[in-house]
Amino acid sequence: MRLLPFNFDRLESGDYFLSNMAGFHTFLGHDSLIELINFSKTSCHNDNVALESALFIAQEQRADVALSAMGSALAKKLQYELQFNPTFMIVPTLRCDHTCTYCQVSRAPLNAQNYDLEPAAVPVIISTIKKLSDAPYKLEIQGGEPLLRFDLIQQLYDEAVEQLGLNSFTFVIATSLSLLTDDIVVWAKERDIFFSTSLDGSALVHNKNRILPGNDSFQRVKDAVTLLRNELGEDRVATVTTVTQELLEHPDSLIEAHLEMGLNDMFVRPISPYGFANSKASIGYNMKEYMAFYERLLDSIFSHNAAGVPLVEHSAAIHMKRILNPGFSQYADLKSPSGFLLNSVLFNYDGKVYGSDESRMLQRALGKIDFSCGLVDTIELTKNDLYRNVVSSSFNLLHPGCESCAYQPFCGTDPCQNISTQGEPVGDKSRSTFCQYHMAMFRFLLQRFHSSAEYKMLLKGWAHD
Amino acid sequence: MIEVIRNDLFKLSQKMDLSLGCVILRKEQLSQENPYLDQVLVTNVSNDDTSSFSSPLNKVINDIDLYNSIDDGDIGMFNGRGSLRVLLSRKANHNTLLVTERCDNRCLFCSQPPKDRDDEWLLTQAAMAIAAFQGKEVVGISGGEPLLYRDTFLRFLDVLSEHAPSTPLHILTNGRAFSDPSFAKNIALRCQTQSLIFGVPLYSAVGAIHDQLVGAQGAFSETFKGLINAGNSGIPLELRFIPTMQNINNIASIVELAARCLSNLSQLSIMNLEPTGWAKKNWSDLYVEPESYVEDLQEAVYAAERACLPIYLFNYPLCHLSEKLRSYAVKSISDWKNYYPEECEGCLLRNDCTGFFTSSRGMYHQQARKFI
Repeated sequence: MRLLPFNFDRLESGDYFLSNMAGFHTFLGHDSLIELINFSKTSCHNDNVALESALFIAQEQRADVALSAMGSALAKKLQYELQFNPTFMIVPTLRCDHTCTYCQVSRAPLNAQNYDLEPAAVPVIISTIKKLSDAPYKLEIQGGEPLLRFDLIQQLYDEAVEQLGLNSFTFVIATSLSLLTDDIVVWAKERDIFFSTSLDGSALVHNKNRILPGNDSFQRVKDAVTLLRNELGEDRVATVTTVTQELLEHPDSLIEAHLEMGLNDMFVRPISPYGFANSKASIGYNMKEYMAFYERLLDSIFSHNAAGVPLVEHSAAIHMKRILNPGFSQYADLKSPSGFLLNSVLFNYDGKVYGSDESRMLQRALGKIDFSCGLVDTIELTKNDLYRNVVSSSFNLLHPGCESCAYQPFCGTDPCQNISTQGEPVGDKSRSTFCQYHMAMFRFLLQRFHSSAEYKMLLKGWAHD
Repeated sequence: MIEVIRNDLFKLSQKMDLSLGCVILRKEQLSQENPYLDQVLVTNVSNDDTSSFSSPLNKVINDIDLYNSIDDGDIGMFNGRGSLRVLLSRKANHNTLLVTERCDNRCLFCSQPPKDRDDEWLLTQAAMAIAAFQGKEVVGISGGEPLLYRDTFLRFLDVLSEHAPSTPLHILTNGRAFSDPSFAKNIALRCQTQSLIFGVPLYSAVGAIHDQLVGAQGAFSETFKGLINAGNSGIPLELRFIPTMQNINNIASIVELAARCLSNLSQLSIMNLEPTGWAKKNWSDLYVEPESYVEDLQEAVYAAERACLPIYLFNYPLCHLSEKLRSYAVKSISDWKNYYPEECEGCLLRNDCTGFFTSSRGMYHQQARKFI
């Protein structure tokens, strides 16, 4: 037998997770791994069959085929990851009624001037989208609080119908829902409009971080979610949870907050450390503390499922899809090369175009450098030096620290976070919050996946969805 | 005699002087000349009344059964022993032409055991038949190993792209020929002018098991290299798998191997073993009851779906599958070789079910399971 190149990592149980650049993975006990490394095979026939099927070892006379297969798989994987398949984000206004604690850079005060999109820019934005990509187009309205300019949202939708065609796009509004009115509901009901909103925990936790003058952000989102589910249907509103310090000790309160609104789907993430090198100082907790919270949360979600409440946590689902689903490369924040530009294009209120939501935040934090790729009517996506540099610096298989990591084929990169915290796009992985977070997620999920048949079934089910 | 759904072989009662070869079967008056094949008129007049018609010069066959079984323009072949086989039929659910009996594999379950003699003329004859038939439905090309006559096969495709460009072809091959990159490239070129898809069986992700099942050392290496070359050069591929005792635990691994390494895969097909040819003599070493590997099948189906690859189960009577798997089953057994045993009477799913192979009658028969 011939040993082919692979990486491995020790899980909490003492077993090892193995992966190779073709995207295969397997698990081995400690003794088997030592056998594999010393003798290019283990003493267990079934393990050897699994290892040979997944290109970890090859019969000497078939080694050339195995290497061709590996090369072909890597090429296929890169081809998927390189597809230009963006979500087009549009910011009708940067103004916002909330003053959230963790939102450092992407809002302007409610009554500020010159933070709204010019109506004349709307047709140009839509025609640019049409030029850049093909149907089905993914449109996402961002903020600030976009419902402050419902008129612009309507104009964007109508323009999209006109230029892209009625059934050629999806339309998501990312909003706190605090300004949802009956008129908006009636309008959305007659169209295929989806809402994405924030739910950060129970009323206590949510209101402490998502601050409105009346201190009623939670009640407003709860009423709005209930109204939308009743009027539009259960699948038309989804939540995102940003985990704050206040939530860390109360994972179950987050589940209750979702169940209270009839929501079985959760999407839970830590705060991004934008503009600050020390994550503890900026976000109030380190990754170890976050994972302690997340492990309790996921184990509780697992228990709910075992008791017949079909909760899904989408961060876990995305990590499992990266491992289990060949070709899954649609999630902009966990892929290599990064989703910057390839999976997101953002049209800002001021007419500038960015390769991601994070790059416009960088612009606000580091004003001297132009992080945009130009104005909407003069964009230059492929010739912009900064953009070429950022995309070409975001292949993790070439990054020091990633090249020997067992999670590298499934992980991603965040060049903007590295620019923000370390001043350049590749980053020292030992100081990267992105690396700490995703490595901890992979380790935790795979430990559960490997050690419990029931957990495995649940996680596989989420990946299959 | 078991009744098949569509009979395709007719013993002609009248003495015919026609030798071995293909003809166009006409139900209406012989129209104009056909550049590809001779034409024969089939009538529903009884033989006794029309002895005057039965001269070979007139090219008339009086046969009510045959008349009722064909459409005008179907292609028939005289076997030289007084019978006529309907080769390409507009009534059939699927048409397949055998283009060689030679093969470089010796599969333990081969349904068409190979004969090692020069039969390149079969490709010429198949080209004429397809050109004369001018069908719009897929014609299957099978063997033996159709790609064995490398350059002749390329010429066969060239003839068809000129004379029957709108007939799509499905070619069943072991794919070993594609391990030669320049041959793969030549086929890929021809995929641009005609709808072609190549069905390639891969029986294991472990080379030694595949080689054992196909009875040829080194076959896996050539087939897998061939699949990589073919897919990466843009040749549309269907991957086929037959579960046997030797490879049932390996189905999901094959699906993952294919999904990660191969390009241009349009379908995965899992085919239940057919008790015909060499499969009969090796039956007890090969056949596994579907019930015993339902979970492996389910895993394979999930693995395919996670990779967004369509997967289908062929030749499985619905009662042999779990309820979850039934929606993946295809009504696949060709109509000239399938039947429904007595047990199927009254089954609610009979119309959606592929039924059984006629060849499974007797010791190979797997009972229809409990009434659905």
